[in-house]
Amino acid sequence: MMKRLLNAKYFKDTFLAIIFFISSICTYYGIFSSIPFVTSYGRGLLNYFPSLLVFMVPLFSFIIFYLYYHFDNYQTKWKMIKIYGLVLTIAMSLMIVLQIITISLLLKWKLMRSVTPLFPFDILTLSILFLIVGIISLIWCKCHHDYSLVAATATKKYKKRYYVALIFMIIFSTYFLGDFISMYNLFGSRIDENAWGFAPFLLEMLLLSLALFMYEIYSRQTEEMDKKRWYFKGILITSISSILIFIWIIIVLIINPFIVHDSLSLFYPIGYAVKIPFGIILIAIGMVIILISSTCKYIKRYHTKKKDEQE
Amino acid sequence: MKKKLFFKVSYLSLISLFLFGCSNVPDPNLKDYIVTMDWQENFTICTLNDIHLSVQSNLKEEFEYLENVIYSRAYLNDDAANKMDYAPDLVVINGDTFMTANKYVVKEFFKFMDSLKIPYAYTYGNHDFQGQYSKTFLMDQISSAKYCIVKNPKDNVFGDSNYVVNIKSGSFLKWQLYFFDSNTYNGFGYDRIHDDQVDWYEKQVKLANKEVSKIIPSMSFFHIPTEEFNEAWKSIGNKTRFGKDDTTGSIWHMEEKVSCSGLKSNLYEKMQELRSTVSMIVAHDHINFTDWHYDKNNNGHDIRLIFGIKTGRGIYHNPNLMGCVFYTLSDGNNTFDLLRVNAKYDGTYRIITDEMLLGGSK
Repeated sequence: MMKRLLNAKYFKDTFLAIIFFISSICTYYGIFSSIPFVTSYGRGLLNYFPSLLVFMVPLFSFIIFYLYYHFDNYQTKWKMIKIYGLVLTIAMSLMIVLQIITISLLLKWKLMRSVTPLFPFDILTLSILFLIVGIISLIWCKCHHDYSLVAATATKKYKKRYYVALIFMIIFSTYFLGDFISMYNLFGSRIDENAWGFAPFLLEMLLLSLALFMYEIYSRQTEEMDKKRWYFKGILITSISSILIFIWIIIVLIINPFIVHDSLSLFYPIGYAVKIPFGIILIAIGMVIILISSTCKYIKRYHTKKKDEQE
Repeated sequence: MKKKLFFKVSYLSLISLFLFGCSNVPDPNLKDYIVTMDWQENFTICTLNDIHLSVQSNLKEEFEYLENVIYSRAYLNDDAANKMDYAPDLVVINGDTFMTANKYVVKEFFKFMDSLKIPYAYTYGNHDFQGQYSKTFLMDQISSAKYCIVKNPKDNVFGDSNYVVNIKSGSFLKWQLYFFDSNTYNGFGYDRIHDDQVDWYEKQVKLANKEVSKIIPSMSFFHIPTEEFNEAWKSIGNKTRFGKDDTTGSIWHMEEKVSCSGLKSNLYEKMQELRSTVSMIVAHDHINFTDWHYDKNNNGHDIRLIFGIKTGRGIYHNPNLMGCVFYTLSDGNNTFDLLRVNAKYDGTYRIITDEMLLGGSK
């Protein structure tokens, strides 16, 4: 039943989309709220470290489930769920103990609402919830121990470095999607006088997610011709979108060079520490790397291969 | 046909959006920037710098600390029972009150400040907008706070906290306090006070002087230091870490470099020319304290360049150089007294003496 549900196409897509959305918000807010760790040289680390870890659980879950659906071997899938269950159970158990100690000794069982609306009790509740998820995953592994004995039927699709790059891409795209979602903060009683120029900066934050989405469509194609077509389309759509957005950003910056510092600083909390809106540059670098490597791979895979075949 | 219409509409919308962004706002009256306060004998200003509240701040502890700092003169005089008698006439929050904060932290801070029932001025620092809220949200909180005296009329002057406090005894203007938005960054480094802000300042000084036909003494408050702080360190302090210069009456305690803008601001020159403003009081560098008496152009008008003292333990700090500064304005001339207070979270208070500054603030 569980297996059928997990493998149902509609369930898989909805499930991944929901976790991706949740992990975007959590990753962004987790990183945002952990900046004071660095700027205050670790003061408050005991109080806040569990919240950082809890905020990272949805991202970890997304990476695990995303890869789970990309592997064909049951043995590998089983291993992934086991690792997921073990990591969640151990990490959350430790965090629950740490939280109970800090809440009773340092916070005296009082609300300290600043980091989250019901901090620290909401984080403690989430930790317990994630611990239950971890335990359920381990129970599932125990019940399906036979999967671990299934011999590998499919060959490895990609090299390790490919998965490392994919994980990095997921982390950055979730962070910037979360950053994009945080634009709800812009809506208030008044419209900012610079609102006319916000659009390209907000759209830029979606570029990494767009690249990931195009990759996802490509990877779902089964026919080689479709794969080639979607590879090309992906590169084309992502390149054109990136170029247009960056040109738009440049035009806005020419009109008002202070727009980012003046009105958009909430989107670049880390970059401000180094005085320049590092986020914009980071996305630009990321997109250049993705597009160059994808184009090279496309040429190598389809054009060089074709040439070789002709020879 | 429909497609063409769609493109035309989109094109026109984009153009109108840009035009909306480039539109000019009519300049408000100079008097719209002025707040009036009543002169009190020994008018005292307490400056709080770089509080740096974040989502991780324990607001209960921080607010308790801030309240104690504001009333610290009562603790210094062992008169905690009558601490209300030691309330300053004005509290100046000189930038970087927030960094990585959220709406809850911002709201709670202004609720706390209003609970003290002491008028307070607010200037923006380079980190204040770096949180989970928009610029307009912070501005709305400031304008709706009961005891906050910030004036921010819609104008074309750069920055958002340029305003003046006129301290009057009856109808007689005694002192003026100028507040500037020293802005944030320019893309590569810290920004500065722009030329149109300097023009605005000139107009305000001339307006005040014209009304009473004499030069009104004034002080100025803003967050990021001007390059004159660096120049004074070089010319008076020879770039030494600690020192005192009896010729000029300057004292300095420098634990870090001056983080000013790489771009020139003409504010200092204008202040020397107009001879009204006697001090530039800034924040930004958490472990520096200076009181340079600097006459850059040798025109006989010293301007005191003062780095205040960092308030609270938000980000980097020296616990022995943490607290606030009280400025007591004199009646009848353009001088003021200065009291530096070191306040710690464990409830100990002491005056930061010259000897402590020269000995490395131990």
